[in-house]
Amino acid sequence: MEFTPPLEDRQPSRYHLEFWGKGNEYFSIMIVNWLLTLLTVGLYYPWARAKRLEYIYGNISLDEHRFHFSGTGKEMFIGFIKLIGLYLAAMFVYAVLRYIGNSPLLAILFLYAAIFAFVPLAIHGAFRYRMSRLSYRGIRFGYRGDRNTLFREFLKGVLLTIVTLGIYALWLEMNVRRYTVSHVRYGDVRFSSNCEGTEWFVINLKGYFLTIFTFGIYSFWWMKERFEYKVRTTTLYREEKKITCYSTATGMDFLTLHLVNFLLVILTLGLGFAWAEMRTQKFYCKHIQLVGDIDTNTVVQTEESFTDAMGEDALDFMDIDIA
Amino acid sequence: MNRQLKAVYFDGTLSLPHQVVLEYGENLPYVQFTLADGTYHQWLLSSLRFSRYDHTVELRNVNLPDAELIVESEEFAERFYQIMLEHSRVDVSTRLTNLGVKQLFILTLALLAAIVLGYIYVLPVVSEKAVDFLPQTIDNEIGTLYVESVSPTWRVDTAKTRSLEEFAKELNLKNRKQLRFVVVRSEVVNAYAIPNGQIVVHTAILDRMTHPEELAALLGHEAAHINHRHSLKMLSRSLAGYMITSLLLGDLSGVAAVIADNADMIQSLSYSRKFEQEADEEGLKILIENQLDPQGMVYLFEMLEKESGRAIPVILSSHPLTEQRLNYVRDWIENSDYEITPNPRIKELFAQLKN
Repeated sequence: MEFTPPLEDRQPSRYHLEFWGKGNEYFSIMIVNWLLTLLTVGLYYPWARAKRLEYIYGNISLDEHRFHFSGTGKEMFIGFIKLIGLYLAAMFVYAVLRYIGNSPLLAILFLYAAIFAFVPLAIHGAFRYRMSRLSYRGIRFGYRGDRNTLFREFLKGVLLTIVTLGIYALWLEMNVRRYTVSHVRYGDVRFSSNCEGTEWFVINLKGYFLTIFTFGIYSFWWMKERFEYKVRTTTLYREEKKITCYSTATGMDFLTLHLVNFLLVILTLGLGFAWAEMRTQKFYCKHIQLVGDIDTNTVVQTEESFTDAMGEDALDFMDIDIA
Repeated sequence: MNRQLKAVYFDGTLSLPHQVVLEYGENLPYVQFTLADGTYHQWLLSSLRFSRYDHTVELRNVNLPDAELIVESEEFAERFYQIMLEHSRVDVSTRLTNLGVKQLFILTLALLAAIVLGYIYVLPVVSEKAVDFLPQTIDNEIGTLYVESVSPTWRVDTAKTRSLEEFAKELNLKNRKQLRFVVVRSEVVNAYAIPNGQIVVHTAILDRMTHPEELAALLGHEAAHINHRHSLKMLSRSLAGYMITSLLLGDLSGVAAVIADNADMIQSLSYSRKFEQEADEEGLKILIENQLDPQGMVYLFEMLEKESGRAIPVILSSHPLTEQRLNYVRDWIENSDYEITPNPRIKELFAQLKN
């Protein structure tokens, strides 16, 4: 590792993000995860997940220093148990309403309400947990979003989505993203996102119709636009200094990535998934460019540590992608 | 012998890297280093966590959770891993991962082979045995569920149903539970047993029969499916198989779907060859016990075989007819002693069923 020169000697304008993960290493990890999960009749799953995340984050480096994910299987296991408890509690209430209260309509309404209430709480929990377990150069990330604010925002969004027959979902998506990303901290560095629904709507409307008109070919350019938008609306601040982000990925890059990944997986009867996933991670790291004047040598630890892995597993359970 | 090498240290309060000289050794229960400001650190191996990425090793101390020590050296990576191994500080997962792709591949193949063998040889035995521990009420419930869903489409021939009931009463079917019979008007050559004791016979199959012994053979065969709980055994087997595959692929939600669908599966479930043979044998024994000609089973098969020349009768999709089955029955008859007593009552009832 190159030792970082003293800070007065350099005026960093570019930060170099890189992914080091290798297909064969990742494959080994996934195979071991699979073996142990199988031998423990599934109980190993949270530990497997911790291993996977540790490998992926540990292989992302910024200016030659690696990130670190310190979440443990035990934490995620506890989260998983809590999740099962929540699920059983919801099912119990449902059953009481349905069979004892004898009101199927009320029972179904309760189920929908429970799911809608659960999603923002799960997003909140997952962000808090994931960020608290992520660190770089000994400085923790953190999520400082307020659960109730996110909850209200989400509820409002869901109602508007219903009223607008689904169209508002794009605004909801961006509102949640803006809120969550803007409450991520890395020590005393603040993340910020100014993404918003209208621009997102235009990108997706255009992408949707052009994809149809080009028989799917435009979908890669659509992906590129979506990725680019999410990246370029993200900025890091520290007092008056900042780092801006942009993407260098072209539609052709996305096409190549997905085409090669597809072949890799198909031609190896699925075994190539590990290599495909590593290629994808590498692709993202390679194409996210960071430019700015924040000195990465002077970031101060600010975030408190806390434990609650429930959100982490909830995210997996509800199948929501936060990327 | 202790060794020294350069490392980078982050103290967990500031992101500034500190350059330190790390000292470690095979016989040392700790690693140690001193910061530029003179602070001395001694980290016990027993409180260390480490991550290795190629020749980069990251050390963390459980007592200083945010601090990290980073060493870039292939030699250190190897040696340190050995030291940690000796001190039992490496978890199973990491050890396995370090076996390398080739060994893991072999291990995986071995496990897969074990699973496949278990799937073929152990699973059927265990899952069928499991049915013995289930109460008969389950057969009844599943059967009733199925009857409720399909019986509205049955065009029942009440007169023939009564004759069939009479016919069955004349026979000892060795049934362990009450059997019920129904004749359904249908052009489809079919007959089947439902686990709750209901035996359904279509008029088309009756029309094609020429000997009363054929019908007796059919009833004996179907009664054997019920007696031996073949439906439940097949269900148990496919459920167990589904659970194993979904565990392999990491998805258990589908099990619920299988349970929900099970009523529909009864008819479509094709009995295994073993179960068919068992039912054939039982059917033959029933014929002999009732002093009927066991050739009835052969006639039944021959009739169905002729039928399959025209179109494959539905009954053959759930009771696959093979040359092997027919030969087995012929051999069985040849090697057994039996006595035939004419049974005019059965003939009479059979005639009623045929008109």
